[in-house]
Amino acid sequence: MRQPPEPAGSTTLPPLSPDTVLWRRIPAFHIGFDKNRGCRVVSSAAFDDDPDGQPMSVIVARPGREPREVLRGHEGFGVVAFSVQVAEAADQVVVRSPTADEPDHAHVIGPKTPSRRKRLRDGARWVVRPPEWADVQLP
Amino acid sequence: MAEPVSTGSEDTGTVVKLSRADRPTTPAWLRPTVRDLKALLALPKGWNSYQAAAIDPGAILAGLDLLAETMPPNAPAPSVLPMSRGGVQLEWHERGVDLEVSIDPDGHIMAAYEDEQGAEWEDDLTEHHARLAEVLSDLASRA
Repeated sequence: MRQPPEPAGSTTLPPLSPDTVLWRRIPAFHIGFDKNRGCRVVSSAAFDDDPDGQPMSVIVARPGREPREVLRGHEGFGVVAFSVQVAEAADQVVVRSPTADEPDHAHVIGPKTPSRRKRLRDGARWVVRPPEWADVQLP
Repeated sequence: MAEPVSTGSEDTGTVVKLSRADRPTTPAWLRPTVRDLKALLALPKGWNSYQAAAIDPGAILAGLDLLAETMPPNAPAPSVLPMSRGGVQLEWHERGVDLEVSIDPDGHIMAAYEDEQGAEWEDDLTEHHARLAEVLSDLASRA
């Protein structure tokens, strides 16, 4: 069946495959201490939506792009990575949402209950960990 | 014998004398928790490098109300973390328990619990706090 033509001026953004890597900045405010494990950890609070109904922001890791680039102007932060598959396993949908400042910006859409935020955190790994955070674990 | 402490009201002229031994003991968790919650009020908008809201004083008060209602005096103090929507998250990761309680600016309260025995649950505690009181009492008794 023939598809209707796209409206003039529209752009089709390539879909994100399950293994697409997403980056998210982590502030020091979201590091706590886990006495069960005897180390500092990243809190699940770091994986929540923005106010006013805006979903959680991430940056799609484009091949060849250095993760440190997303820390420009955000010194003192770390960067973690998780895949679209991890987000989907936490009942989230990832949608590209380019901005003027960040063409690789995307939204992670879905309810962020505590257990879903924990699943996002538990599926993440460090890609930029400031030296003073050497002991900070992602469960 | 402890020295009596005078307190009273200029309006009524009433004076009540208490010895220091009579005064209720402040729970050990209260001061550090109030200090940490108060510190969150200094966070500016955008503190997480995205669009985070400043922390809502109402969420802080709701958190204190919740703790006052559910925390035994000997329970360990929670870690206090800011939420990007302006709420607060209270966390306990000790004595074999992982407990996280998030309080939104609109007063919505959610909790997630896990322990070393394999118990695990997530619950909306906005209206009923008994389940939280139960696990905090258990946590205190694990000392």
